Amino acid sequence: MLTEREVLSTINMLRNEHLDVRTVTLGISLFDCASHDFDVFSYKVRAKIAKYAAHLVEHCNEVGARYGIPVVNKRISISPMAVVGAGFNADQMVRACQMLDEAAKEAGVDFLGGFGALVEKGMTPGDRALIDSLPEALATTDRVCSSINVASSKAGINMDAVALMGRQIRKVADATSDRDGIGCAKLVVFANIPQDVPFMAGAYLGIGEPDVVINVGVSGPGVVKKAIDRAKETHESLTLSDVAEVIKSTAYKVTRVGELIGKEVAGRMHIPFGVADLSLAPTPAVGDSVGEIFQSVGLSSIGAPGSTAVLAMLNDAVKKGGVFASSHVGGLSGAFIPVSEDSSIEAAANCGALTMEKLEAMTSVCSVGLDMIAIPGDTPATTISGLIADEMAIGMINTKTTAVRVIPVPGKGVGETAIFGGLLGQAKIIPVNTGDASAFINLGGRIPAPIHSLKN
Amino acid sequence: MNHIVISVIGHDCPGVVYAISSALSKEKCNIEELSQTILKGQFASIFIVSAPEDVNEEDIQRVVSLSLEARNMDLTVAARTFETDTFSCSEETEPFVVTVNGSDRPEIIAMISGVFAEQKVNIENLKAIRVDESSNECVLVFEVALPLSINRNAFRQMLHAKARSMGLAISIQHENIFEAIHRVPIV
Repeated sequence: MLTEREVLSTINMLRNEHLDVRTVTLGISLFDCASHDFDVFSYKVRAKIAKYAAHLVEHCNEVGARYGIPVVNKRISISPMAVVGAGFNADQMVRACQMLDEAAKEAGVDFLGGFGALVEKGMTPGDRALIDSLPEALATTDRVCSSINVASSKAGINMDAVALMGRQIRKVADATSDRDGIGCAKLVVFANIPQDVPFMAGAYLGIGEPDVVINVGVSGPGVVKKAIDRAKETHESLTLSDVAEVIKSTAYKVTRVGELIGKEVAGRMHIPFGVADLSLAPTPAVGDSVGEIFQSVGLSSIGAPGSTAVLAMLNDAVKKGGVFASSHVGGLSGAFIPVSEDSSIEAAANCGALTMEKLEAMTSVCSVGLDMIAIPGDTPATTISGLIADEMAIGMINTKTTAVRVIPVPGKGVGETAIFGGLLGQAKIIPVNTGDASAFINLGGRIPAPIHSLKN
Repeated sequence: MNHIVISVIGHDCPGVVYAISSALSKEKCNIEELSQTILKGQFASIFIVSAPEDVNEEDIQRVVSLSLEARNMDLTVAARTFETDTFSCSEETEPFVVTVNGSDRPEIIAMISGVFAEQKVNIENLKAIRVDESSNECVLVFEVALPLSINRNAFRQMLHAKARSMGLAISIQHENIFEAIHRVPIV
């Protein structure tokens, strides 16, 4: 027999606090599809994706209805295309991307991730072909996402790749200039990319992963915010210790939902369950925002002094609650601060309360990095590479995942608005430091891997 | 041994359970199972007891009533023979929770339970909660055993249509989601 509080609290989380499962992501290995013949490769990939993903959406909807918890996004992640198609040239990579886009549409998923490369120590011809193909590939497709890992704590930072990605991000933006450079919203540069990320744009299926697997991305910033607000109403002398406890307990609940639904979808599809990714992922909807949590904890907005401390506490408490709730935790697991995808963060950036420098500082304690930030369209490629290098350094030194997903909006400058639509939201363009990084970036080479002792 | 089912309902006060159980004990009756609850100061309980062959339900009703009266307790007692061939769903079921909320009006429970009755879905537990005394907002929580043979989508649509026609919000969820969210698993 359930108690009133258990039922009412659950119903409230669902109806008023945006509790949902943000994504069920079907990982599909494409290594057994590899062929020197593009047509054979293409046929095998389409057949394999169709075989496993045909009923993904249907199963997710059924399980979501059974528990009354919507599975908002259904997605596919694949083996890194630059490895699977290592023998292809850039034109063939564009065709591969288009083929994957068709496969994603056929399966009814909103995004497919894994059109990417792992180049933290160096580049193969396949990696280079894929990176060269990005402007056309991302401009001529809708649902394919790309992630390029250019740094790791074990390998250091591949600064040649960082320089190249700065240039490619500009080209991708220019290739989608009619849509405010939306191609860049589907392209992310990583340090220490996890092999089992279910979230976009970083989702891919690593080389140590099973043939097929279900990974789940939970949600819940709205649930966490409301829980903190309730605690403030009921506790007269609430301290940050209490707030951390509230976040931890709430993360437990949210993760249990993801685990239950992910395991049931995996069971129905007769494939293994991989991990629950504990990330607090916002959407542009009011009440589903990570930024609002900062206000609930007492800051005027995200970006105010104290923001990095709040984010550190939030991230850690989410992990502590989530780890107990799920037998397998992975992916990014933390709090996301994607500017355009979170109405409160976007508002703070819009009014100048949140700057690029503060965002960078916060990424040293959050799970991802500079995410969904609109910057002036004329930002030099070397400046973008400089931003990437800084972010990669934070990830490399702190042995954590960091990433950069910035959108240089073609033809637009500071203060103008870029509109991406849907989950990607919209954002005012914020200024980037105008200092010149070109001579540094043009040096190329690699920043050596850091020492792993003498931690200070 | 006779098996007898007893229900006691009325004003709650300390000592009610003692008054009932001590009377049963004097008659050499063993309480095998019982359930009790209190709703707004009203006590309600159901006892299943095994009684010696020479003790029948009328005897039980009399002694328990006398025991309560002797203590000036205002409760009503009813007793009847326990019938073992009670309703049990012959097919496999799953536990679902149906939560309905909206402005309270007389026919809500009848309308929703009518759907369950028509579909042969047994209500195993039901609570009606007033959200706060000042408002007319009520919440009904039905815990039901949903036979596997019932089409889930059709059942869901039927309930949604019924709730919508009365301006109510409704959720139909497998019970496991509540357990998953609020309880540490029993191992």
